[in-house]
Amino acid sequence: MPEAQFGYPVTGATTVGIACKDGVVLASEKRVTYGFSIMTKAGKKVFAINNRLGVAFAGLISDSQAVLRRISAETNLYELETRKPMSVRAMAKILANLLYAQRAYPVYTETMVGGMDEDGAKLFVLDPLGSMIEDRYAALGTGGAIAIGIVESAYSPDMGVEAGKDLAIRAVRAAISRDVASGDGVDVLVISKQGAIEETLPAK
Amino acid sequence: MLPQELDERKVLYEKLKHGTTTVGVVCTDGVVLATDRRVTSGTYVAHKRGRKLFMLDEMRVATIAGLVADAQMIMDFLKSQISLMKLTNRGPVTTRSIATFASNILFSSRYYPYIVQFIIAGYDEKGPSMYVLDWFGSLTEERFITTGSGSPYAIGVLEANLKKNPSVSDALPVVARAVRSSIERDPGSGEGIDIVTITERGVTELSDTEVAKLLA
Repeated sequence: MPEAQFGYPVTGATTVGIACKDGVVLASEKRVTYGFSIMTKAGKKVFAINNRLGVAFAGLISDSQAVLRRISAETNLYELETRKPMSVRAMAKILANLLYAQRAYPVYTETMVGGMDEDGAKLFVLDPLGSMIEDRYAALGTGGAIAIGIVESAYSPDMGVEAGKDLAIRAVRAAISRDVASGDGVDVLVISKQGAIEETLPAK
Repeated sequence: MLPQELDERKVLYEKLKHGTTTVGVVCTDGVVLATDRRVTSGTYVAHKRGRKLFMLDEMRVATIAGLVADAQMIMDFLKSQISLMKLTNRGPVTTRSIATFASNILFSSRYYPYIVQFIIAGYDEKGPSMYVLDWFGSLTEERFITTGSGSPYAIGVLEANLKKNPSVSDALPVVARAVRSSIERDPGSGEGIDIVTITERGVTELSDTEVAKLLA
């Protein structure tokens, strides 16, 4: 993502997503920067929408939170109206449409949607304009290029969600150590048959 | 994101020619379309299994290149509009009318263009045909074409090896080699080859093993 191209300081981030055989892991770090100073060390970039769906963001926090509020509302509304659980692809598509509607004044955030539905564990990556690409693993943000190396070297398609969680945490920690805009802790969300479990760990 | 000044946009259009190879060949009994799988963001490989072939209906496939969000949204819209056209006309719709519709969508945004390039190909009552569109909506019918940053490498292979009026089985190995050559020499293309054939029996996507056999 281009940095500070719009004349105001923007925040970096690292978020990692891994779709395993039996669940999805979304992880991020917790630093929120404003230029070269740290605004908070308790930033939240990974969110459980319900016990089967989660989103993770990398980019401007205000845009991320605005998108989060809308997609949570849309997901709840969908499930109430249709009386059916929302599939991961459907939520990703609604999100893509919300983002594309702002094509002339885009949000400044990259999004990952992960969850479990009747087709199993799924992960989608959306760019700021709302393109949707399905993948088995991804890393977004200023630390994404660093994190993806860790994930790629150890990922295997039949890895379970426990191994996936360890891998995601290692990947975020690698990015923390080499990206100044990432740091201050690791948030992990594991979505599996047990539901959505969130955890916070130290940066090292 | 999208720069505002016209000069910066021009530079962006040049840069966005990078990062894909797509190939299309019209044959006597159908059409062959092929793409690579790499999705880049500058020099970073953002995705290794991007899908650049998009099925519009049972007899029509499009390839997409350029800004992914624009391409995906236009394809989704086009797909739903094709269903509507068939219902409205109470009959089939030609490949040419689909391509013209796409051209109109693109031209309607002439002064704030969608940054995309399409190949739309299919088999209809007139037989196999293929159309190429640029981001302003220019529409041309072609017998064979390559688009994207890998296009110069791929077109060389086609020009040297494609015989006149090939059948689908004649064209398949040449198309596969064309995309492979681009992958070898264009950093913007890579990760593998997707191939579809469109014949009077419909759309068939080749498996990885079938593609590997073509390259042997």
